[in-house]
Amino acid sequence: MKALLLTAAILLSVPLAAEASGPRERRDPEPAGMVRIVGGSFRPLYRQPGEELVTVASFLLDARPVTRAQFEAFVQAHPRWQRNRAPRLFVDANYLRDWEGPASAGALRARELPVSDVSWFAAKSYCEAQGARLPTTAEWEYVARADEHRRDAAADAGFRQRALELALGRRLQPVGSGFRNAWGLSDLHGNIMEWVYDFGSVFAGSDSRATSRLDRNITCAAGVTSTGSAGDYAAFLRYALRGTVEARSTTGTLGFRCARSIP
Amino acid sequence: MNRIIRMAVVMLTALLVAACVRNEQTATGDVHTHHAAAPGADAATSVAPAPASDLSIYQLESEWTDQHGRTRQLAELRGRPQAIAMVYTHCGSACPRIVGDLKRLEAEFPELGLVLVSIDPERDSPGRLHEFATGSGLGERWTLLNGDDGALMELAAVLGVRYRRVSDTEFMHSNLITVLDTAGVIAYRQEGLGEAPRTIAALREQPQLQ
Amino acid sequence: MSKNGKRTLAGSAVVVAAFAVVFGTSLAAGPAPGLQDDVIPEAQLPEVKGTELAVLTSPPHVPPPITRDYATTVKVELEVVEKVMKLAEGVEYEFWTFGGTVPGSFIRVREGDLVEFKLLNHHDSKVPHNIDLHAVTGQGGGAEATMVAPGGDATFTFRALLPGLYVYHCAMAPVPMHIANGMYGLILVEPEEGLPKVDHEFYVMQGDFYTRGRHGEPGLQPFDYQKLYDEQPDYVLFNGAVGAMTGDRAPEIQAGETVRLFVGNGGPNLTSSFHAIGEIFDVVRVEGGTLINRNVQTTTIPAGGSSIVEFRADVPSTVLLVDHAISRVFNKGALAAIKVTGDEQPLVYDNHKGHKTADAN
Repeated sequence: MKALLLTAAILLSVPLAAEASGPRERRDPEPAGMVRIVGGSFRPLYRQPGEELVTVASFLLDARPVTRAQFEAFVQAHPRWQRNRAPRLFVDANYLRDWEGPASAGALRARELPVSDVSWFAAKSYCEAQGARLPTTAEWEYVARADEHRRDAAADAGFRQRALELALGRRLQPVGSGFRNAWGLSDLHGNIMEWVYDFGSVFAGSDSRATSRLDRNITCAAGVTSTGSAGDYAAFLRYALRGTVEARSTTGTLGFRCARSIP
Repeated sequence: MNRIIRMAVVMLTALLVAACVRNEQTATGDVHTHHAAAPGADAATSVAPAPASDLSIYQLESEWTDQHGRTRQLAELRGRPQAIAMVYTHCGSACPRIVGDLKRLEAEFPELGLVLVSIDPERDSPGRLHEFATGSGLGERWTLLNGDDGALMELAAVLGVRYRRVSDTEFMHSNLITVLDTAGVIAYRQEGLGEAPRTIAALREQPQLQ
Repeated sequence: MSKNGKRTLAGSAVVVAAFAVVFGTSLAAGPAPGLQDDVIPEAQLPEVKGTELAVLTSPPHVPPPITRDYATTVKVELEVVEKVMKLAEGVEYEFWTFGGTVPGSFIRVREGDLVEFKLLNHHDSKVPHNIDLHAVTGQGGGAEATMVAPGGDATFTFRALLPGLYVYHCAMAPVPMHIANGMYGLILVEPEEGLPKVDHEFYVMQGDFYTRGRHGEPGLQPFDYQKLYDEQPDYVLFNGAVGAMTGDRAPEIQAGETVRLFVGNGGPNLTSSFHAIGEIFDVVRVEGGTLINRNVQTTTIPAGGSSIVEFRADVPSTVLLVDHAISRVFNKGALAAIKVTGDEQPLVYDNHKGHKTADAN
């Protein structure tokens, strides 16, 4: 009798335990598709106030931007992020606007494209559901300095020109098919622009010509946004986007990838 | 019955205010920035106008600690209009003026609650916030909140506040006061310092906010 | 007194009187022109009546002259679109445009109008944009009020205080790149009394372009930072493409008709030596302002500036518009045309060959 009761108790407790952990704790134990980035220090090519030397701790970063197929799996598992259910506080009217259906990314050939038309909130929630997070601006800019062979090619004018050309390419490509840098990261330059966690800490300046003397009425402690190198046009474009976009904005050319801290 | 009527009034208010959201103005000249999703603008499917609760910032589930040490959720602020700003107590220049603007709103609108959220949670502990509130004469209608970086990031994101640490002691941040209606939907944004008179005039035109 | 003496006295009196009149008059008139108190007048803020939607046109067309005689609120909506278009035969470039064209849409308002300006950025744009209109008196010419992320929009209002032909352009960092990609256009603020009537008005705008490949190298050419830095363009063009206004795309007018060209120079870097081959500018409204010069062969249009030139097309010919820094014409594409058809005028021009030489260019 006791054995029977014990067995019953064990059998009953299993589904209860599963219930208690809930969907948030469904975590991928190995960060598949992520690359380990060794930390370091650098002078950003577009310096924000308070920034001289930036130090980045080692971290993990997705080798590729998140694809439509991956995001589809996410909205199927988390229906509140489907197009017709996500609150307008978190997404704008163009969220996933060219998807076949609220939970269907569409044609096979489109599935490996980077997901676009996602807001910061949607991107953040995706990463959190993987037990990850969005990369910071510092982390993103740190790895963006690499060309195909060198981890820091920022001083190379030829690389800066190529990064600019890649950034302005028109059509979205399947992830991993384009530029791949020395860290093993694909599509940092080109294919799609990417959300960062702290885009809200970027001040674009009200009028970009005076190397941004920000209006002290609108911004407390407004200083001068200095540019480390006026020659890195691709960096200007990235910072301009971060400095003007809203958290709920979705655009056809803005996607994301996820990062993880290393404990 | 009373409760139902009250809820109906709140929802009606919220719906009316949501219709006014697109007319918000900011203080820098006559600038109108596109903020709320235009109802019916969904490209893929035709949808009814977003219900007001869809836009309420009270959908944020973050947890905060107020100046009395109590754990709070933003949704507890529902039911009365709130004017909210993100500041820090060690700020010498703009933040005192933001508080000044908020005090003017406090005087003009008896129903309005006032919320200060610190972007410097390390130094602005609940105890420090309590000190600050007492020292600045911020009474019963004021809620001062301490939260972690994640909570701050999300709140700043919905309000459209930008901020960054620029030194060990100083932050750069938007000078912004956001007025929420009773349902937590953004009804007005005041950008810039010393614009309280303009804000007051605009809010007077939305009587359900007062 | 003798008769002579009397005359002399009267003559002197006349001289003295004349002198007094002239001298007195000039004293009464005050100091010489240019030194009066009112040389910089008060801003004119006439009362504004009604609202209208601005008629915008694509180059080389110009909206019709304004006929109302009062100030109104003019609503302008302009959308930024990033798109790949033809730069030259076999060559494509990704342009950033106001209203889908390079130069951007032509805006026409009247002195004293209140302009309610809405700038939109297309959802598929990669980067944010804004606008600085040189007609605006106010922070950044509107740039500070109009930063728009892709999919966004912003509105601001300004008063067209002074008449003139003004450049507008994008002012987001990096500014030279935004302009080099074609983000410029013209806004005309007509004087209250309007401009004298002419038979035709056209819109022409010069710009310099910097591509990775050399002039003519085929394919989708990316923007080149180093060439921009060195101010060494591969293309110098009217209206954003080689041949944008030549051959079949050249407007046609009749000999004897009058033409007004609203000419801008978006730069980003080069100044234009604007000249019409086979014609003389009867009237030049210098730098798009109020000063008028006449009988001008070549007029300077600075980067970020404009000019209004007018002429009567006296004889049939193909009038070629050029930047007379001539290698820009031969090597870089700085050529536009206006075809003038009609009867020969041998008393004005006779090529001694017995028939018309005006050819399709």
